[in-house]
Amino acid sequence: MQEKITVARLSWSWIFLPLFVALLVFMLAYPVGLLFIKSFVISRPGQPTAWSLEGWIAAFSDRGLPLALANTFSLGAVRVAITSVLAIFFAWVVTRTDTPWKGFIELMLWLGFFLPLLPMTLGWILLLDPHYGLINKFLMKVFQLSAAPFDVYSYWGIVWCHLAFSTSVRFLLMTPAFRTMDAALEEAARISGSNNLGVLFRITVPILAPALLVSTALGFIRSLESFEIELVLGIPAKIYVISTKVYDFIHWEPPLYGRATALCSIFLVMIFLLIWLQKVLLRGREYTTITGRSYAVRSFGLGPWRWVTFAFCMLFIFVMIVVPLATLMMGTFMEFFGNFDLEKPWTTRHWATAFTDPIFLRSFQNTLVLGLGAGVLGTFLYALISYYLVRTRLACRGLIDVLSWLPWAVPGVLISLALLWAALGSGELVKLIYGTVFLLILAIIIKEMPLGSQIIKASVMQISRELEEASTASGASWLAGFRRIMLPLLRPTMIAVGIIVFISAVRDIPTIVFLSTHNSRTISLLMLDYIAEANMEKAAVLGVFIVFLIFVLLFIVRVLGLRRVAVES
Amino acid sequence: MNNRSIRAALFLGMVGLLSLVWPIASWAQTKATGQEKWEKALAEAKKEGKVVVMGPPGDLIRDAMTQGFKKAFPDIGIEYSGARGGELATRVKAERDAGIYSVDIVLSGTSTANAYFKPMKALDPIEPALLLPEVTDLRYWRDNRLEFSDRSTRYNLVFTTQNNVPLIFNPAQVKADEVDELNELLDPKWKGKIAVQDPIPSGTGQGVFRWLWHVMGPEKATDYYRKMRAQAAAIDRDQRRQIEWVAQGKYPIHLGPGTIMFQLSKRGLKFDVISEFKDYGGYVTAAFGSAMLLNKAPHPGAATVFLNWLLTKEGQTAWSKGMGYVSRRLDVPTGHLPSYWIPKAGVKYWHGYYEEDATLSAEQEKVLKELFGR
Repeated sequence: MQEKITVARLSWSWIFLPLFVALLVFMLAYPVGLLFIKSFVISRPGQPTAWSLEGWIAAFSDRGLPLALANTFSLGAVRVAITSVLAIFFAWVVTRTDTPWKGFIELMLWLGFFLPLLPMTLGWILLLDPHYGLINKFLMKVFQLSAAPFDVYSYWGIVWCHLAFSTSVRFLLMTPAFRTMDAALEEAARISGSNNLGVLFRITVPILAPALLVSTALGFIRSLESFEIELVLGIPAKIYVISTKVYDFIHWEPPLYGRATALCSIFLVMIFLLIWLQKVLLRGREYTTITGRSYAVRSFGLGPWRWVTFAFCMLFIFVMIVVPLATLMMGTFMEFFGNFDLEKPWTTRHWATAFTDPIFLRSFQNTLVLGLGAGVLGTFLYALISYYLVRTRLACRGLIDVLSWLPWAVPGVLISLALLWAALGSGELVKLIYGTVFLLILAIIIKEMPLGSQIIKASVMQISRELEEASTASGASWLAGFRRIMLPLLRPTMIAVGIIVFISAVRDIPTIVFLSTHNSRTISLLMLDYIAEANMEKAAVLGVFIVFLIFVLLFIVRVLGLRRVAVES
Repeated sequence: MNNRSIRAALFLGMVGLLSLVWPIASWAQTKATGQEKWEKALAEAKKEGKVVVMGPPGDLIRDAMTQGFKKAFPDIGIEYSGARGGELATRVKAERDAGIYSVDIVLSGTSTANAYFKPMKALDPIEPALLLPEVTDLRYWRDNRLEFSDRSTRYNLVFTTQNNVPLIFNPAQVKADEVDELNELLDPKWKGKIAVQDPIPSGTGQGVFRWLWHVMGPEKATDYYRKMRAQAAAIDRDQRRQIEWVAQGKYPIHLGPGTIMFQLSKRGLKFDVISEFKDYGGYVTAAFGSAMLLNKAPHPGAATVFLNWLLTKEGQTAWSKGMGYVSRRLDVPTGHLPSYWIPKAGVKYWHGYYEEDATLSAEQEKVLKELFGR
């Protein structure tokens, strides 16, 4: 039997794998390599090419760098610590307990992930600005305070504004693993006398270590890269982080791409460290929770405590999601966010003009093609990568594992630039897709590869090999086994990844900014036009529209997809 | 009078007549040639089908350019993409390196032209492409001339010249006569009350500091930079945020506001402006108002038609309304613009947009980075 499996694996691998590995190296290493090489070019576009270490030296001799580094790691660590606790709690509540309104709680936490960050931050400024913030004004009036109790332009202001998004994204990353965990292990712990919290921390969390570690690593890397909130809230408070320094270099005139790339090497080092740490922590252990014997997902009764978990979830959702969302909605009807002193502070003009823009319809079509294309194609590619990394013992696995993280070491706008160079310098075949939505799809698939491949990889690690071995022993081909066993078991994770990629694609601006042309412009790029004219309110209208679009998608997925998955489970 | 005399008189008369008629005929010939060239360009443009224009980002200018051109030339399409100068140049350079020539015309700031496109050798001379009499007649243009920013006066045509407003303030907290001289801004009572647009990256903040260097001289300007840094409450790059700070009274004075201030004031934000200082005057800028004609353009006929349309009264009016900028064409209405942006007749302004003045000198950059670097 073992011989047959080996033969099947070898025949498949010898035909398919070299091509697959070459494609991945081309997609990942080539653009990033180009970026690295060009980081040593110091001449401006059009001038004779001059090579120098000047960009790297200037980037690392920046006098503000040590403080920016300290801020970056401190903010990242604090956020990851807080969101780890919250996300584990929410994932556990939604998947393993009988807390009321679980479906609603899950939906609202998804909402936290796809709310547009910049307008949401403006919403928080409207509430917590020390000068005119509504909550501050209210508290000062009620409690006769002489100074505002909250200052959103501060270290904790940055942490606070990140909470909804960061918790939601980590919740999304963890939930599939929680959902596919066999309940028998928890039941055994209970029978042995453990209480609910004991089961959570002694059984559930250790078993889900791969998923939790991946989610922590992804969350930490994302927090290092994050710049919108830091840019809006950090700079007035003189809090600089690496990502805002990179942003500065990119938005310099002339743009200092070399220096930006040099600084990004810090992210790369962090990623290598995290990969190493992940390997050390998971080495020599078995994390399969889905085997051929049984696979049961059941909720455990919390008794009266279920109302406590319910109340905590609703409080979080109300404070972190509903309040800023309501503020954001209100802001789209204001001439200026939060400025009530104008003669006419309220207007419907932003809504009226955003949808009558002559290029809105084409942008909408492009957005749908981009979101669906990247969501579907990307998810299948990530599933293949994950399978290749976990299930095979073939060469280059380590290389592909490292490469699959690369896109998160580089900010979106540099990925965009690297792909522009790569696409235009890769011969006539790749040039053909230049200026079309397909190049944007490729860019998003590459950008979201760390998230997609690592999350599916964690799920593949939960599935026992014996299922495929049984399939092969019964005469099924590898492809049939992959299609009929692996894909159905991975479906909840793949649906989650597909939706996340769709959402990222329709919201993304930096990754596609250099690749989009007049004909392939998306709604998010249309927002850039409004932002260029300092009309954040009109841009927020499109942000709200994107939220609506995603909500419709989620509704369809829940009706058609997850319900089916639930029935089958 | 004998026959010889009559012949001589007739000859002289003919010469005199010819000397009168020749220039008129020659002018008519030139006119006919210009007209023929225009008709040829128009026919080519219709065959090419479209013109590809890159320019400033924003929906107002995009609509003004596309709808205005479509109305004037319904048979010629227009593709307009907006981006910042550095991004435009990076993209065009990458395309050209790969042998792709997709762009016909670039509308951008003069530093984009001189720092990127000119060294790239991507530009064609502008004047040979100017064909319409309405465009070539210098009487229509400020100072009776076409303005170029580049030293060779060939490649970067400037069609916007307006006052650069160096300072805005909140009239509820500050009186105009308290801040209408540069030295008054250093008064201790304004310490911690001034938001300064970051002078290091190119933009309005840098423009003000370059002007200070020019009018004060390096030594005095360096001293002023130091004192201003000590006065400043915030050094920021977000133009809207700083203008809102002034309107809301958080920081009542802002040095180096962006041209976006006009759109924001139209939408209701309240602030007053200082367009010129009493002690040092003011300066003019081209902002995004300059044109480049790209060589090896994919649609040369359509590019010529677009460029000529843009420089007519109709095109300049569309541009002026879309961007809120002052045109160099004298027949373009200015009723939709604030008076503080219109340069005064007879005043000699410093032109911050010429190639030699449009960037920081190494000495200036060093001082600014030392004082304002993050």
